[in-house]
Amino acid sequence: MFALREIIKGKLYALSRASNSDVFNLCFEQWQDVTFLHDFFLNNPAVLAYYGIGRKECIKKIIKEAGRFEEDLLSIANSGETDISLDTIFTALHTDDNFETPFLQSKAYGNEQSPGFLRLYAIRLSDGCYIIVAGLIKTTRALQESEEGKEVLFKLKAVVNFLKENNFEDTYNIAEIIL
Amino acid sequence: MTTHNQLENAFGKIEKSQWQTNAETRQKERSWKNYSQQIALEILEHLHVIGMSQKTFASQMNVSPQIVNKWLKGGENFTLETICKLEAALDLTLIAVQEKTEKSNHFETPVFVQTAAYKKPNSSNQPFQMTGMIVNMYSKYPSAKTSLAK
Repeated sequence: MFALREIIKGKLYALSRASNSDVFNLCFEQWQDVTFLHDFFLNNPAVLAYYGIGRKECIKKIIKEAGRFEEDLLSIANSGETDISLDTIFTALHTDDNFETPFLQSKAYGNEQSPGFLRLYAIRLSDGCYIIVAGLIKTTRALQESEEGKEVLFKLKAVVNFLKENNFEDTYNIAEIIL
Repeated sequence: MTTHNQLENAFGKIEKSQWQTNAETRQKERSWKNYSQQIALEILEHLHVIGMSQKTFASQMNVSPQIVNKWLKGGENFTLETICKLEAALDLTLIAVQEKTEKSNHFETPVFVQTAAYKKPNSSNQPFQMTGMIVNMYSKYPSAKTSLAK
């Protein structure tokens, strides 16, 4: 059973376990929590080889990236604009998809300028509203190569199925029916 | 029907996330938390290297494991008193104030804090072993930071 929390009304939501923090809030807490990050790299030493830098350097870079990423999102949330487009931050997860794909599986990079460490994964609804499903520190080139990544893919599919089962009408589906 | 209403129909009542409040707090506290996080990281690394658990460290510091946990998350606004206690317990220098040189202008010289980890010398002949970094407390003196970091 899924529950949702509102980040920006009508624009951005995040999955949550009932009465617990949502995944969006949790990601930004963990990505700026030194103990969490230190444990993460102690438990995943191979990740350091993937990035080619030391543990301390990785942790410092992640905290910096998370801070900037969060400030970008906060500035969008505080802008008060009704026509906020999160499409400038998110992009299609799968290369064959685009913004016309219903229930689009999407991702956002923590740092657009370089590969970076952080990713958010979301379902995009056809009106540009996003549901954050998961976030992670990238540890492999492709999501399928890590257990965490496979779990993200599973969750994305599960949320899409949940929306369909609960008769959520994505407008593109309606358009297809009309045509 | 709005997207919000459609989502409520599917997921049930949607409450507001705590993220924005938390993010605004983090943004306000970022300047000093940056130091706190660096200090926490140096302590965590040191504990890892010497193989000391956080529980043992808490006991050595005569504080609860919960307090150590808070320190090591990087969210503690440490007092100088606490930093001195940490340095003594770990035999580690966590911060230091850069002294002015005789030539420098009293009013133009920024104060620097060297965060973390160089071992204290065992004798007066042994130099400090710097493994940490120098942090410029005043961003308006970037050139000074660069020259010191060299």
